[in-house]
Amino acid sequence: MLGGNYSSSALAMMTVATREKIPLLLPGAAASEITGKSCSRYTFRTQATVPVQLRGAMPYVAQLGKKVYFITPSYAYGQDVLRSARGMLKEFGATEVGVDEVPLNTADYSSYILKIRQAKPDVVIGGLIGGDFLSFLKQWNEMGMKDKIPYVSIAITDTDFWNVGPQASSGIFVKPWYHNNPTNTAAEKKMVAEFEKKYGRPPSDKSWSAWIAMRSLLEAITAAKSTDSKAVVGALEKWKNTEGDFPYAYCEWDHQLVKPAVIVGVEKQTVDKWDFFDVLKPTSATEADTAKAFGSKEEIGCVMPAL
Amino acid sequence: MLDTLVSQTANGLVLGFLYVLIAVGLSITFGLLGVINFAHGAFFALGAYVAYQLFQMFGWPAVVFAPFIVGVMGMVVEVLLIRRLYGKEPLLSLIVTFALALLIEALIRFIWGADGKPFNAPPFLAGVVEIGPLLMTKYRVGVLVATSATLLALWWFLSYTPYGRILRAGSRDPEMVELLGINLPRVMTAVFGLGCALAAIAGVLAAPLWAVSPSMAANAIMPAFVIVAIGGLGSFAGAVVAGLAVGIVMSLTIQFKPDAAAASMYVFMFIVMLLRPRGLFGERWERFE
Repeated sequence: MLGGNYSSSALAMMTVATREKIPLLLPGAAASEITGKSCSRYTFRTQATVPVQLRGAMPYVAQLGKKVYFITPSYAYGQDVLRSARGMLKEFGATEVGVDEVPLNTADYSSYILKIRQAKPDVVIGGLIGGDFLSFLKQWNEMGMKDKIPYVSIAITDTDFWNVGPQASSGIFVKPWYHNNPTNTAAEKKMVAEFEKKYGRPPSDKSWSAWIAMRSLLEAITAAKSTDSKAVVGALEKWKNTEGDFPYAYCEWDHQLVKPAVIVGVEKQTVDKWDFFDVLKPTSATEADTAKAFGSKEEIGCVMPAL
Repeated sequence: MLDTLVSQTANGLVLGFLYVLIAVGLSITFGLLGVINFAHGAFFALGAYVAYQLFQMFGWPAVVFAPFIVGVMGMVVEVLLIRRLYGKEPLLSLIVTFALALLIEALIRFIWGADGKPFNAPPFLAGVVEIGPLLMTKYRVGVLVATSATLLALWWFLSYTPYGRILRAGSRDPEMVELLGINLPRVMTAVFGLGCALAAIAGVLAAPLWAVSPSMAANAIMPAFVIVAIGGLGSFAGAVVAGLAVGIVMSLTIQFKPDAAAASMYVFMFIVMLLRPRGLFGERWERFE
């Protein structure tokens, strides 16, 4: 099974997949507990966890200023963003000047933006995604905040920006992958070309996440020479991609794909309606740094049951 | 603190005006036709999408035609489907219009795709207006003006024109209106079209502020129902007062207890329903007794 974009729905799906012993590959959900205390032998996740993505973004936050305002969605993923970022503030010499936990499916952000404006932060750390993020960005731009207070967020997706258009887009973001990253592998570049040929637009990071999850699943089935659940799980645990600068795989003790995310900034002058970002850097540059960024077995807290 | 309160109250009023526009169409449809139109939010979304399409094809001026187009679509739906619900159990109209809402959302996905559409405020309404503690964007001032003008025109139409009198009379005593030789089915078609056009005006105005996506109806329909319930079913004045009140309640809740913002309008409705089950301006209607 492949899917589960929201952390809350992914956690609910995991319970059923584990009970029914069906391998579940999650391409989108980012909350820590998915591969942490709620981890499952049958669940594999491709997107980097919230703490890994935040640790990549925090040096940029520190450069932008010391006073931080949080605006996060009020469910599992948003709570993880808030908890993780608060834990890193001291390390980066920053302080919290305000926080809003926003109910899911909020349409009007003007009152929240007025609060942010009154708090006068140096930078806003956000965790809004999907339609909520679209509405927020539109109103952030509409209320003249786009060039006044920098906005930094994680786990965002290209389609959010394509849906809002260049006029309203701004900020620094961490995302799993970017179609116009010069360091993409030959296989990824081939996938981008074929995707553009078929759909007339480049693949989003979500397309990549689903692509790599599906690839790993099909390659695992091929390696196992079986579609038996236990055999597929065993093969996924041994699966490895060696096409990039350094190999990446699902971590054997929590099933998290140990691969750096990419930090991007919205271009000042966007000319291409599909290419909004300048690639700044990956969240980690070496295999050892990447493994360290994802945390130790004790830090993650996953106790993986036997098959 | 006073600055904050003034600023959030003013912001809540603007949001409230948008809610009023969404709710007043729903209120009119119920008040004049006796149909609880669960698809009202879908016509709101359709207004935003038709405006987006017209903007893509002909530029900003063409956007004003979106409510007319959606109004005509509403009239077609009334002739084909809604008129079969008149005089039937309210539950039936709820179920049928809920299915209609799902159908319209599916059609939006089919025609425009599942992704949202980039649609921002026109360049001539970019920027903000600051007066003391008040900060308002030019676009929201534009929304305020457009909404006020629409509501005033609607009030004048319903109160002072012969056609408005026929509509109001038809809502209270349809048999008597027909005995006077007036073609009531045609009037009812026009009323449903008017309700849909009002939803579409709100959709057009909300499109540069909210995410234009197939599911945007969900953000409109619940506040609309809450406002209609608070204001009193079928009451024009009730919808206006309740809409503004809900906007202010939500803005002030965001200021002081942001995680309760979504629940605040329901708590407000709960209190009003406890004190006055008919709603603030609800009247006793013989038809629905």
